[in-house]
Amino acid sequence: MKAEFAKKFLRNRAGVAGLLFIIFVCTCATFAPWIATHSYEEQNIDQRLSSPNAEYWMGSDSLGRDLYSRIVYGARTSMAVGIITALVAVFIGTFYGALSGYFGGWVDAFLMRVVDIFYIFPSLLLAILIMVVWGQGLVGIIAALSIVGWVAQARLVRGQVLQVKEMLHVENARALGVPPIRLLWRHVLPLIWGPVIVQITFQIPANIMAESFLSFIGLGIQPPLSSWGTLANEGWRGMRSYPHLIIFPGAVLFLTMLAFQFFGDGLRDWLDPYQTNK
Amino acid sequence: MASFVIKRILLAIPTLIVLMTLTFAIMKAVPGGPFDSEKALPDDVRANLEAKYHLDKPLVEQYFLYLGNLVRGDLGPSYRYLGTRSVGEVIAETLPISMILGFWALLFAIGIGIPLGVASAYFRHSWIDISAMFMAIAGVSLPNYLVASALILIFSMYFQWLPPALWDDWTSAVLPTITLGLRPMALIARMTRASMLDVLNADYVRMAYAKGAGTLRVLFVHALKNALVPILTILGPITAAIITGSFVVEVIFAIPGMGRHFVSAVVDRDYTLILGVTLTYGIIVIIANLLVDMLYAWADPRIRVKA
Repeated sequence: MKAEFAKKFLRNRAGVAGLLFIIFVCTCATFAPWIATHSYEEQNIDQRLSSPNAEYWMGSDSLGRDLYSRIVYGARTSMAVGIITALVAVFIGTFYGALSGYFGGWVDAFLMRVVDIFYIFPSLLLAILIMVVWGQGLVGIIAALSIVGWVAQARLVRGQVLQVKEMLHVENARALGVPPIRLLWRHVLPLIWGPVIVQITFQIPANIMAESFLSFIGLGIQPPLSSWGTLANEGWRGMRSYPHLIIFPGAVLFLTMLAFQFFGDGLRDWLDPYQTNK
Repeated sequence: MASFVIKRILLAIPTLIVLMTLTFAIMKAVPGGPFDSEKALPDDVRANLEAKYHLDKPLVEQYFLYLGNLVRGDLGPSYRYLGTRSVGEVIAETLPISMILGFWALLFAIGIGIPLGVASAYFRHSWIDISAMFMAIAGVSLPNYLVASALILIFSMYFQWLPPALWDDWTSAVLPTITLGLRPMALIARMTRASMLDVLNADYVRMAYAKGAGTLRVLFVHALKNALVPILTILGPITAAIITGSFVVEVIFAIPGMGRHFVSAVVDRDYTLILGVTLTYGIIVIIANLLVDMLYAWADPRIRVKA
């Protein structure tokens, strides 16, 4: 059964290509010190702003730092932010949505009213406000994106739980006296992992993108630490004369987004056939 | 319909108060105040300033002072433009610019996205469909600063047709509009295609063809109107995306809109301006959602508006 499922996913060539690219980026991020040719903060003043060449594969920036190495190290920051925040948001959202859907009644009404209020807040706006409190930089951005991302997840899980809890096996378990938390964990949640996993694969790129926006407008990751957004910000300022400074980080981010998009679509067709084409 | 609208507006008021309270709480939790600068102010000057703006009062009192002024339509002084402009004036000056930019971007997104999606669905699996959908996926995946850089490099630097920044005549609006509208356009195109595919095989579409209606008429009048509801569903989130997208676009193109002021207000800890802008965004999103709900009822009379 499992092998058959895997085969079905492997037939989606765009999805597989996306997955391979994501694995490639994660490998680069994990083994950055071995894959980068320079340190991310090593400056070489007489090699400033050089175009791509044998020494600096993607050129160097205004302080003579190797752009290729900074992009490889930037992958660490960007992927870490994307993955951590997506997992935290999905964890909170699943817990919240499951409670709301399972208990129903006034608990549900109250919890969903809170979600509605969060919903009218454009998420990037809220993220910026939270970062004002937490301070800019890595921790602030992780806190902000985690707190912002759970709302959509909570709605999704609540809807799913509402359906699943009416099923016979759940009613049976309840009649046998299984306590609520165990009931949720063992009998309800296993049936909704599919949509949850699909949601994670869309949340990760959305958060990587959000991080890069925030860093681009100067509110996110602070130098000398690099992320794809900070690199694009530095590249933006020198764009007129040295377009390679923005083209490379931008292109890497674009390809990663594209990979997640293809992978997510493939995964959705595979895990969640009812949602296809919607 | 009228009672529905009134009820929704009444429901919006508690939501806005919660929004305002949350923002107020966040602002007060922040370390540092608006009168912190590189050079410390003398203590007595600082105390005078804080007394003048009630910052020395207990928090609860500050909160009710602000709420009271708010009800009277007074958003307070902007600490950054102290003595020259109030928050209300800053918003009145910058909001129209952001609204115009957002309006054009939305028009661009709908005007290109819907025909693209319809064409894609009609010529499904042809090269038109494949290239349109590849463009749509690319549009969703491209960060907007990259779109902006590419547009500026091509149209401002190389051809020198359009200005790369600022906000003067209509030529300066072209590049920001495309930058802001591209992603929503891609989302709308994908949604339109999926929704049209569901509809194109329906009986009434075949019927419309059978009675001799032209292809364009069938597609855009008979089919599209029925395919519209799912497209309308994403218009709410898209409006919110255009609002937040406009921060980045306004910073990139140096447009003096509300988004750019919001970003600098955050850096300067200009609390009252942050609060004012946040509430303004909240009101815009609420109005946008209300309009979308009214459009639903128009597109699908089966949806009874619950009043």
